[in-house]
Amino acid sequence: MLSPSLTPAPGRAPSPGARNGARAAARKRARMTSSCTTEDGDVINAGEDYYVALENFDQDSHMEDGDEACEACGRCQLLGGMLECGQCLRGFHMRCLRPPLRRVPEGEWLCPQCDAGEEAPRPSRLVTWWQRLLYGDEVVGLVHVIGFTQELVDGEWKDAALVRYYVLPQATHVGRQRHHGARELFLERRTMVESLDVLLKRAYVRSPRGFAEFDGLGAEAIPAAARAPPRDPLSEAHAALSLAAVPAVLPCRDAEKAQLSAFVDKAVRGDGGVLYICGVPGTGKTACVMEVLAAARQTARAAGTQFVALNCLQLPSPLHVYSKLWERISGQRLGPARAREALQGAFGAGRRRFSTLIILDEIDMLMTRDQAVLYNLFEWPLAPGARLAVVGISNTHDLDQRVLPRIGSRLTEAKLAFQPYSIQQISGILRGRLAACSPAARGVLDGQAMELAARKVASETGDVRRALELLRRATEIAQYEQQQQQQQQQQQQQQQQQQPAGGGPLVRASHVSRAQQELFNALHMQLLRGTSLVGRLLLVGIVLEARATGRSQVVLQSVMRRVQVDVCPLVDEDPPSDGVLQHVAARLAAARLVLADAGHVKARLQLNVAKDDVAAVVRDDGRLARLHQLMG
Amino acid sequence: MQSPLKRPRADTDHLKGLSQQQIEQQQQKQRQQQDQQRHGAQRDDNLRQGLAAAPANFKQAAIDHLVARIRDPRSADAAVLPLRPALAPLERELAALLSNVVIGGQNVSLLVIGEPGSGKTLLLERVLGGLCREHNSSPANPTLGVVRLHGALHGDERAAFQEIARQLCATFGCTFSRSASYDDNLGFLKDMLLQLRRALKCVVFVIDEVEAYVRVAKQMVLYNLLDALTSSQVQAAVLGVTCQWDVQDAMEKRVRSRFSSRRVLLPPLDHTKARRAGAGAGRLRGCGPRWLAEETPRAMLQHMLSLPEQLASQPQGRSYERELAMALDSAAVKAKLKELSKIGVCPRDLAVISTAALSRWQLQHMGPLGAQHLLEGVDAWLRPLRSRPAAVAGMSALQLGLLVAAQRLEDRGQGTFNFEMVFDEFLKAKNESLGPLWRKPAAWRAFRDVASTGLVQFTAARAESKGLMQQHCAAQLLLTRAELDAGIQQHPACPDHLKRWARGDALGGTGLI
Repeated sequence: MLSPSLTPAPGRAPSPGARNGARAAARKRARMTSSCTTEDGDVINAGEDYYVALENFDQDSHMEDGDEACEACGRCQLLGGMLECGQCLRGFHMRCLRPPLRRVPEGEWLCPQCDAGEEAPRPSRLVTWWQRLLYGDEVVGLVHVIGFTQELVDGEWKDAALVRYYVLPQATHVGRQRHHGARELFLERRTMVESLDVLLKRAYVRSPRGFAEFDGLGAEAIPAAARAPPRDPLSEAHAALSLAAVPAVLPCRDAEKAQLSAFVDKAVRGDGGVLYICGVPGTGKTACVMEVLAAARQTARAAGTQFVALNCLQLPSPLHVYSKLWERISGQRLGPARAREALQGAFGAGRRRFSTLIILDEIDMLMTRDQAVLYNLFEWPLAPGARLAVVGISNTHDLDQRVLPRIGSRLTEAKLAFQPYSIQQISGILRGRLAACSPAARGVLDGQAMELAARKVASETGDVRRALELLRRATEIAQYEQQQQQQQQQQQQQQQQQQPAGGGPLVRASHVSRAQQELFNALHMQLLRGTSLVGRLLLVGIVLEARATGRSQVVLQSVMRRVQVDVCPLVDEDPPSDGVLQHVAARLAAARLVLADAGHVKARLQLNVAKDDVAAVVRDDGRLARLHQLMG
Repeated sequence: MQSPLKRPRADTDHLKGLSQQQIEQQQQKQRQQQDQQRHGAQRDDNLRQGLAAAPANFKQAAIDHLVARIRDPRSADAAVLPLRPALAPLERELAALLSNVVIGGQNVSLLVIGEPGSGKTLLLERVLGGLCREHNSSPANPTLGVVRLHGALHGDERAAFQEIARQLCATFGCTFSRSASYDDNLGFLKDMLLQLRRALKCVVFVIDEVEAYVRVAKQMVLYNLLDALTSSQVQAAVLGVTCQWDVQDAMEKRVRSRFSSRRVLLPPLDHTKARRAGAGAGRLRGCGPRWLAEETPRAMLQHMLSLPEQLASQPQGRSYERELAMALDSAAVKAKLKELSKIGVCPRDLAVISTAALSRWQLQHMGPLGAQHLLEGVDAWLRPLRSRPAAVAGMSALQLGLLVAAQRLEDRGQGTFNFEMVFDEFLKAKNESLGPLWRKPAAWRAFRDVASTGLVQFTAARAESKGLMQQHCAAQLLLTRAELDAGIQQHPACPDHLKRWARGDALGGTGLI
């Protein structure tokens, strides 16, 4: 909020037309000091707010700083205090009101005109600085000083201030909304260079209560080990292969990136449109979009284009996409229905001043029964003057086939497919990840190991996340081996001087194939080998019963009978009781070796592992030798 | 363009600084912790007194200690117990992975898979307990927070996100708002993770029964947690715990891609051969509790029932250990344990047997823990497997008659039946046998009682709400022929004609049924 200062203005001659003369790029010999002294001897500190003179500033008429007069009586003598209207900000003597007020009312007070819902009149005279800011026509502006620099003016270096401008709500891309306060302002991100001459007068801008930076979580002491860069090359390589270590520039996607940045450029220029990006997970869809957006951010900021990125899997329901979008665009929180109306109003009607680019990740989650959400999102960009572009990202290739033809045809035209990575691309990406490391860490991974990982993954999914995790696990295995070797060496030869294991790569292809087995091989063989004798008999019973009935689903009761009557005599075991067999079946079902639809004796069972795997376990068990022929 | 004057959002309720209420809460928490410490000290005193004083006190102290150790994997007693040999390397591996998360900020996701009762919770709690002791120097301001979700308790995703927010607030001292919406809780999770990273703190999400979150349509809980891990601004780990080996296959593509595919499989107990615990066993044998070298039920039982050093060094303790070893080596116990191995037991089953044996011992006035108690413990575990014959043995003659009638229907290929059919069948027997006469309402009540024991189940949907029409609802027997026969054999007062009828003999002299 603005509050007028009570100290008299420093008498200084400002040069008119400050804002035009703002030279954003003229930063030379940057001297980032915290304070600066003007020619008049006033000290300006970084972090302070100042009124500045704009084009229409007239030094003679605008420099005086008067007291505000009562709107009712026109005088400014204090007759028992002035009351400010919460909407039009005009002042009134409490006595001049009809009926006069004795006490200052609780809460917000509106003047009679505003209370009646009439058009809020402007103050009759602009006497205070904040009135000139809010109601003047480009008379004064307000800046936040963030530092100082020097600039060349007429061949002479002069001190200048680095500032960020405050703007009124009506000057932003959404315009003034109902929820904006009368004194509300926004701080621009752009940094400008202003001569010290145009700074007129100190102002005090406050942020609303509660917006203060949250700081309840600070660490008491930073642990010594925390955030220390990894020391040995293996750990460094391990950290570089993490999914979280996304590189600044994504390799192997140049064609897609070119298409994307063409689309984003178009969006920034204000030609709306639709783009549908599809591809299997882990092919760099989101990362590419984010990279292109980051590159275009400067130009977008200059053009006033807003980027809104949403992940549709972080929404409570598809309809909430309206609420989130409107909140990001306007800062106002509304329910889905009202937000949709607001968006409709913003995009559907009339010419907008600024363009907007919406990025929706996992857009297939917005599929509703009537597809109204998708329809709206892809319909708004087409409205004349909407200046809206929508990018939808999804891993389903057939979204355009599943939606209504009207949306589908549009999506098909604007489809950008990300193909799964090839072997060369994956190994290129892996190499790129390590290229940023120290030379020692670069040599840690064997070329063959990387090749193997790339080949394995490319042949299956082409998902680069898998390749990274595979190599990361291989690195861990190598690390573990190295530790064990070191321990052994220390135990064996403590006196002798040790030569560190030299030169060669530490992560070899054998590590990668071990990691591959560990990560992607099915676990059921280990569980099958851990089953008890009764468990094995039951599995055999299921196989036999399924063969006898010709169905894959068999009833537990008849399996029990088969185990007790047919199977147990063959292996010279006492037949287990029904209760025991049911208990064992429940165990197998809990581990999902067997699928069961219930827990009782009439439950239907089905093997969830291959019959041959059961046969292999039976074959290896000496006690069950006679059953193996039955299984064959 | 960001607005610096944006209104405070509702979810910042969580994020307000320390309020008065919260300070009080923290003070209360501290008081509780002090109480617990005092309580623990008191128990140690008891233990020491037990060492010196009468045998009854020794016995009580030993039982208290052993039961607490078995029951609660998070207790201090359980933390010193060595893990079974198959779990020890897994513990080292998990601890290394997770400390890399805390120290190095290397996010990790993994699944812990194992059969029910194979020690998944024990293993995880051991690892997390060690990490928390190492990194959380002050409980009021922890570096490592643990959020525990359970698929069965918070299976609904809305509830899951609320629970996450609640636990994060409780751990890191923020104010939790119960009225925060789904959307707020989602946003809060994201913001909180970012803030925690900035404060050099990290969170470990432990999701028990993770298959519940795979079964839901959008898999939002898993997606959001795993997606957070791929951000460099977040320092966290997601550990899923499950019994199902194929849970990964059911994940959606986008979730599976973000999941690291790391899996830790807890092997079932190895019944067939003795597993040697490597070089460490020999070194540790002399000091502290005996190192567990095998995974046979005998070794596991001895391990669970052996006393800690403090108690074992006493004269009573030494005699206890001697008696325990003798009891385990007795022929009867050996035979029972062999039977158990055939059925297949998990560590939890052995824990049940141990506690049952201990409680039998506690009830006895004199004498050491002997073979008799162990056998009774095994019987207590086996009892649920024999529950249905026992239930049949406790039925009234009318209920028994209806069951036999139902069984006869099933034998004739009538797998599902309704009450009317059973009653018709029963009337035939009644006419023939000249037994006591029962009216239909009484028989219906008896039939419903049988259904409420679970031996008969209505298969029709919402059968309970159909009033008298329930008599025509389809039902099936959840009892096998062998169990019915066993129950009738055990029955103290089964009418003779019913026995014969159940065998399928002709009743009376007038003809076959």
